[in-house]
Amino acid sequence: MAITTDDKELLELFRDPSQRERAYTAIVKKYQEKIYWHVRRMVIDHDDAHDVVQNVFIKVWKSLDNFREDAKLYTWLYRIASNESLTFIEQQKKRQTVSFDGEQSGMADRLKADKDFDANKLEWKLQLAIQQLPEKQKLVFSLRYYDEMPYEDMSRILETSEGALKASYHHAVKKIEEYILNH
Amino acid sequence: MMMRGKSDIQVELESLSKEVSEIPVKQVFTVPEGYFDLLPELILDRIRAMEGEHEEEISSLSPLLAGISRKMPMSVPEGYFSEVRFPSETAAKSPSPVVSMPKNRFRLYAVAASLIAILGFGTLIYNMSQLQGSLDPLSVSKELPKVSEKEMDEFLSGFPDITVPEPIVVAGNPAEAEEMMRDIDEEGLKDFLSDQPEITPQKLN
Repeated sequence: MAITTDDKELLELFRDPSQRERAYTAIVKKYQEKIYWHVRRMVIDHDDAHDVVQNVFIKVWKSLDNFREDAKLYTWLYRIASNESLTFIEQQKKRQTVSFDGEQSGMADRLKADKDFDANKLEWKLQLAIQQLPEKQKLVFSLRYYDEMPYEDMSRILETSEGALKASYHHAVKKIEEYILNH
Repeated sequence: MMMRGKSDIQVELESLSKEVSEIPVKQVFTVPEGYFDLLPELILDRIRAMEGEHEEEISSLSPLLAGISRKMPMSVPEGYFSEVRFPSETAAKSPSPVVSMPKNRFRLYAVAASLIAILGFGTLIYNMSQLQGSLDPLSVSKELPKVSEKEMDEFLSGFPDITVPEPIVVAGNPAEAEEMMRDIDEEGLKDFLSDQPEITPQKLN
């Protein structure tokens, strides 16, 4: 029998111990790609994204009982994913600071290390431009440009006013434009 | 999932930057083949392993504790969690009730102050009269004759080691003695005292 895809019904099933794993698997299947790509755009490397995504869904398993049903499940998932990505990036920066081999592999270097990287292609240039943005502005741009998310939902995820998000997106686009025109 | 139509975002982007809006929205990264087919089971395996480790740990530490259900025995009022809001949401959705105060507050304060003054003054007068009554020597002298000698003896016997000094009896008329002393000089007085038997002062306890 096929399981429902409705968030509310999935949450009800999750609270039933006999259906818990089944409901959880359905939630992971429903959101894994969106969450993965959101994380991947932030951390760039597939293995890192894989680790972060696993951590996100383990947190979901642990916290889903306390999830307030008046919130949207997908904004809650994005919030966890955004926080986990930022934590991962922060840890990476600290590791690089204390590194003794002098290797400074920033996000741009990680992009260039991708097997498909092509500096002549505009879409890769765009990726390089995105990596010049501050982390939170990068999140705002990614959610709006790639996930096509309304400012209202972004406001819930990033706990920032819609006005501030619009301004942040505006600045991000201008910085990206400037980078592309100059490189 | 509610997502705004592409056109809205495209229009917004075009208004911000024509160059960026012309870049095709294309995913440049790739994932290993079949990755998303395996991911849910991979995550679930990790969760099972973590929970298994936890069970194993608690079982080795205390089999008794491992056998007890982790379900919280306490209950909460029905619908409690669905009603709980973050503080900011609560503030926005349910403003605090405004209690109106009477317009003529001066009159209210005046009445309250008068009542406090009356009660305070009355209490002060009452306490003073009680205090005066207990210290009035006239009330003692009025009551003393009513006390019998036996009651007085019983009362005094309650105080240990009280010795009532014997009165020093001056023989003869005091006026006569004064007259006699007038003509005695200091030398004569010393001679007189040396002839007298020793007088020991009465011990007073």
